Amino acid sequence: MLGIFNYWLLWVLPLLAFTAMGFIIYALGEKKGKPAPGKYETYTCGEKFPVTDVGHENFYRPIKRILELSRLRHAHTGILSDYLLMIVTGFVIVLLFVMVLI
Amino acid sequence: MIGYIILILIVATFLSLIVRRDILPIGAIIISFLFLVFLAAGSGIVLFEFGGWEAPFGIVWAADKLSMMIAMLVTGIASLVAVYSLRYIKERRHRYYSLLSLMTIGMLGVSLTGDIFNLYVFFEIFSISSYALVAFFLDDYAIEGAFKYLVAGSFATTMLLLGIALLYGSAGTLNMADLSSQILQTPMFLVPLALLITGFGLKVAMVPFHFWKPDAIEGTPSPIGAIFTAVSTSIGIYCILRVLFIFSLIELNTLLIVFGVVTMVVGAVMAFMQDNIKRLLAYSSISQIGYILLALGLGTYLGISGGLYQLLNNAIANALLFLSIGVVILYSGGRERLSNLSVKNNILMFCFGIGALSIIGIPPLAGFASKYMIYLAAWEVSPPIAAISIIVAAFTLAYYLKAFSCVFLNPRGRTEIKGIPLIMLIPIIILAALCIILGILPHLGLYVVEPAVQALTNSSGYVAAVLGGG
Repeated sequence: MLGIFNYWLLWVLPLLAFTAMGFIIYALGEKKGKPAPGKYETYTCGEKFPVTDVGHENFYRPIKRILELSRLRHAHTGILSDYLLMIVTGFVIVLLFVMVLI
Repeated sequence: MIGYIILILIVATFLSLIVRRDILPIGAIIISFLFLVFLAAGSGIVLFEFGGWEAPFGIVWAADKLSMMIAMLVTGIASLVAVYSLRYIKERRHRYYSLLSLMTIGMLGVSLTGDIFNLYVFFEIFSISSYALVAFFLDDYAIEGAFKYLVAGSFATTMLLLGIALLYGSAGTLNMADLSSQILQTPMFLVPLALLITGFGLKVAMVPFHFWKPDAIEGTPSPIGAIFTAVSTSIGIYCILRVLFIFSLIELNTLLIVFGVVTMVVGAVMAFMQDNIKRLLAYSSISQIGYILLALGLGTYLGISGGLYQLLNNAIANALLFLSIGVVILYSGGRERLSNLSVKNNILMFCFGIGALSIIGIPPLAGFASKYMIYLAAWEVSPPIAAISIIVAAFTLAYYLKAFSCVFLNPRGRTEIKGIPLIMLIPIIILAALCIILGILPHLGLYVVEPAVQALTNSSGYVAAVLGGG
């Protein structure tokens, strides 16, 4: 079974890639530029967009809306009797499984 | 020797309440871990007959390699949590450590006993001490979480007791090895089996029995959150495995696969939508339990090995994440919402990152090794299930990216954490190192896991050892 880990490229390549990326990012960060007075942006041409700050609530908002994931969230009401109802429902499902499978 | 381990813990628990010394339970938990490592190095099944009464008449503790693995995991994580808590818990420390030690006794007893009623008793010890630990901070969240956990836990233990009573009524014995040789797959047997699976499933927090877990974890101290997500679920999974394999109920694999996939997906989707870091970690741990159940349900040697290895890696990574976040929350004045939790500390950022990458299953960390085995095993049995598990891994990456970005990369309102006590950092660094070592050298982890898989799949050896007296 240990043979599945013998594809050494599987280990070495991502490791090398991550290490190289780390070094490049670190080296670029260390490099001190000399901006002209009053110049704060690297590139001055091109279309200008206002700087936006993505708050924690807006992370993956389109995915959440498209997949309608909030429906599942609404099932987690925090009300104890709802939880107990789920336990009983779960027990019935387990019982049915056991009766069908054995 | 197994009996002495529990004896040391019991004495330390009660003595610490009287003399008010934290060092007693901490020392006892660490000593019990070292004893277990020493015992696990030997071969065969370690038996301990209470009062010299032989099985099936007396209570027997039978520790095979699977029990040993779980027991070492319990005491190992509990030792790290005990050391870490020295600086985390500021008030009523002797009570906290007594409860932690009692919780360890419960989990240790569950993993080592060969008697199903004895298992129930230790399950209760573990549950009752954990209710008190969840409510330890005595704020609104803690009390409500503990109450919900208490009610759900009482449901679980009532179902277990009823199931055990029905089993005893039909088979006339409580010894698990003896039960396995007497059980006939009759309709009378189906109801107790469903009761036992539901009872253990509640403790595992598999969907749809998972509701209590995020609520309980939200109010609990972070080190106890580490125990909950890391080892308490492992105990539930161990119990389900014991019941299924010792009674040779391989037909129920489909049940594990279905519950595993649903748990994996629901846990990931819920974690994806969280704003509270503790709830996010709780749902993440539920999702990871789904992987373990799925892998064990696949029933192949590779699947079971991957499942047990994932159980080990999941425990280490979850403990690492909770202990790291515990420091973050402690130094941020108790803030838990991602919107206002922003800190700067390179060591914590590195360790949290390692834990998150390991849980996601990124090479070369420990989680990758076990998840890779699960993907391969799932692909052999059913490619669509393998595809679902990979998609869930992508979701895992998404929500950990959000958590990491909000906590460590957000420059607004950032709190700089300086001077973290070494006693809190050491357990975190040990766990992070384990994530890296077990990932680069998966053979080391499999050295512990493979004997456990063999013990699990060869239940006749366990039965013969217990009933033959070793």
